[in-house]
Amino acid sequence: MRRYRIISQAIFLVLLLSLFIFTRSSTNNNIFTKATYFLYFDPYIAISYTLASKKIITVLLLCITTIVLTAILGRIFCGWVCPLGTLNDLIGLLNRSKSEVIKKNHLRYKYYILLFSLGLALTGINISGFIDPLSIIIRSFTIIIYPLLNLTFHSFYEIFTYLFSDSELPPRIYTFLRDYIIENHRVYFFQSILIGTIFIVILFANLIMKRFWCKYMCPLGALLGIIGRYSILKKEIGECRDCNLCQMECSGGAISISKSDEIPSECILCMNCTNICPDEAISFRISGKSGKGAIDLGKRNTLISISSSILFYSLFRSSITSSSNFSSARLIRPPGAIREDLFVRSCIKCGLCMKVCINNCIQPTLFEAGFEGMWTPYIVPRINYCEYNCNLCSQVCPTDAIRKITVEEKHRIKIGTAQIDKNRCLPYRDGIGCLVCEEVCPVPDKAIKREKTGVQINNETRYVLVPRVVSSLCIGCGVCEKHCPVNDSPAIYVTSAGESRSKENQNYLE
Amino acid sequence: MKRREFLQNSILTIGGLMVGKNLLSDEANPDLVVVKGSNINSMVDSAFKYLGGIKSFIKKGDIVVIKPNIGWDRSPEYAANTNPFLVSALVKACFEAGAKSVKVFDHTVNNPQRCYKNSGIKDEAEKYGATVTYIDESRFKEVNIKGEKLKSWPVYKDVLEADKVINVPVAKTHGIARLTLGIKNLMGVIGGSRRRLHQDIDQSLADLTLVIKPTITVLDAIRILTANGPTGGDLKDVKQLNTIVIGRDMVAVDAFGCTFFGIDSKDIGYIMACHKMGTGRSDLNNLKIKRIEL
Repeated sequence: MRRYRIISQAIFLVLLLSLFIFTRSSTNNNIFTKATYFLYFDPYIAISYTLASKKIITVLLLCITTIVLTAILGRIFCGWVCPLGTLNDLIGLLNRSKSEVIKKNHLRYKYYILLFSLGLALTGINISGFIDPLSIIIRSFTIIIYPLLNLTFHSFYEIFTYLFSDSELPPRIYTFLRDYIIENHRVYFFQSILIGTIFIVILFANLIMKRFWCKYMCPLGALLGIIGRYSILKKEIGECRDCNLCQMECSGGAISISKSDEIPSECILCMNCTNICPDEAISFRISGKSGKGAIDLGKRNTLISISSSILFYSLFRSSITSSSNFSSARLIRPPGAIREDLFVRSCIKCGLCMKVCINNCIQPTLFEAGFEGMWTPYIVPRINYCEYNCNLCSQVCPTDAIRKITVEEKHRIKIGTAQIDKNRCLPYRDGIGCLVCEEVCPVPDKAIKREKTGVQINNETRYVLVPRVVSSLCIGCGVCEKHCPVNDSPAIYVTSAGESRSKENQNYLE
Repeated sequence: MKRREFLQNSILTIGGLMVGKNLLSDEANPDLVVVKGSNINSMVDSAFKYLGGIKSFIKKGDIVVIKPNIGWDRSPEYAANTNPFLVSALVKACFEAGAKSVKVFDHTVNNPQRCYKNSGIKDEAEKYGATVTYIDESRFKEVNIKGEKLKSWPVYKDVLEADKVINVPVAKTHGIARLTLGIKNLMGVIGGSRRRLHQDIDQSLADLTLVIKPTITVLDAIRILTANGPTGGDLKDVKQLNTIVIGRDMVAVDAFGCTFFGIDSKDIGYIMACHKMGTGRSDLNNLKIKRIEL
């Protein structure tokens, strides 16, 4: 059985990787497939989302599959499916220490984390994205692994062209990779060091304890443990010599003290015990008998973890960004993003919108949207602008924080407004020609108009064409900011004012 | 440095040959051919016929660069990019004349993959065997221009090394340059901080014509963009003229292109700058223009 478990893990890891890689579209708006599907089956995300936003998304009901499966078989998701668990197992191979001492009490931490986060979700703060294993793995792939892959690929290509500079054409393997796997351009993300470090810490915690994350921290594992303790599939132990081999091999910490003190909620069905048992005494059978129950969390601790979420609620909301009257100028959300307060409740920081963005303009925030909004997506036009005919980010969002929009709809959505700094704009400042912003403006009735204006230069009036932004036409895509020749701080830049999704963040009467 | 000198020499030689050819050609050989019609393939064929046949431009074994305008993520009907069927007609003509390979590319402003696809140019050109590649930043080579404004500027290697270059612009309005035609289309083969050229667009473009000398320029006026250029996006601004203008002299083609917009070429700064520098002629009255209607 252990062999089948490993095969299943490999299949799901490859599945996630391929879904992740194919969450892209280079030439049009059709995505072949998307890694979002994985997130639909995550009950922790679904419950947190529903509690926080008081809404139900139909596709997230797919997570009932996982719940039913867990009710029948136990935490099979953790042992056989979860890609982060698989990575943990892989890194765990490096951990050669035989006797790991599991403190039974430590296994409780993940339940406290779960209760704490669900308590917070009730108050409207959704932190599931930070700690959900699927969200962690997809975000880490997007923000750190994939850009590194890109960098390596482009560096190799540069070396190749340097060595064989006379080659007429890029090699076929290059064009294939570029068209289907890698981006044509380099990809960069803010927060990559932070997100990468967390990912590495989670993975290398396996050197302290195999599946450290799964045993002590994972809130999804805790949720499935609560359901899984009632599972029908039960472990049965026959004649036993108390060799304790099974205890040493146990991935979940279910056999933490001795085989007689087993905790079904911690069993992830890794099948190491059935495999290692010299007498083949361990087997899993469907049985109606009631299980032995789960870890005793303790009434006091349970209460503390739920009630502390109230305390943290105030802490999270102490930031000015959570005030509806405050709008952060550079917090430009992708087109289709819903109202800011709902957006922060819905977004699970999986980073797929950043992965799929063809221009690499969507970046993870740090504290621009408050602490609860960390790693949510925002557009940084100076890095790149939002492509006029693209709506890919809205297609991949698992929780509709960026709602589904058509390209025609997108053309009408205003994500901000371009502002001109006349002190830096070259025609205004120096009386010379420029108007690059006007040239690149994609709105059919250009949102940047050119006007002849007299500019005083050395006591003479020079008549030059200057740009003027028509706020009602501008959609805030930021292509003007991207291409403005004024370096460092551009003379034209987008701020969030006027964004369609907000009632408050408006400058004009109407 | 040797390589650069060689490139410059070869460009000068090609340029010299072109001038020589013009002097030798007989009286009937027109400077510009303007073709109006509905079938793009036959428009291209008959235009070349009056210029001495495609074979007088493209020799067997030539490596040809076709440079359309693919700058924007717009579909063909918006006239923001060169007509894809005009590009493919030229690709076909080049291969029929014996070209070894035909490369098609442009330094796009919008996302390159989107532009290549949505313009229809990648699919159409590849159908007839052209090599359509995205711009590779490492292939720009600094070229000594010694112009009035531009002393040196990075130019795409493939253009410098090509045997023949066919410039295929689309006729559009443009904010700072007023019109974008053949000369402005050269901005798609240069690298560097192109946006800075806007500060003296007329002289910068004229300087580029010192080093980038297309063998032939084919102006796409099948659809022209009459307002909100060069991006467009509104079909109201598009005018269907079903016309192409072909000539050896890019400046002359541009001067003629102005007439589509009712603009005098004397009002277009870069055309005048080119005329002054002698990289081409804009005095339409003294040019032999052959007009055909199919």
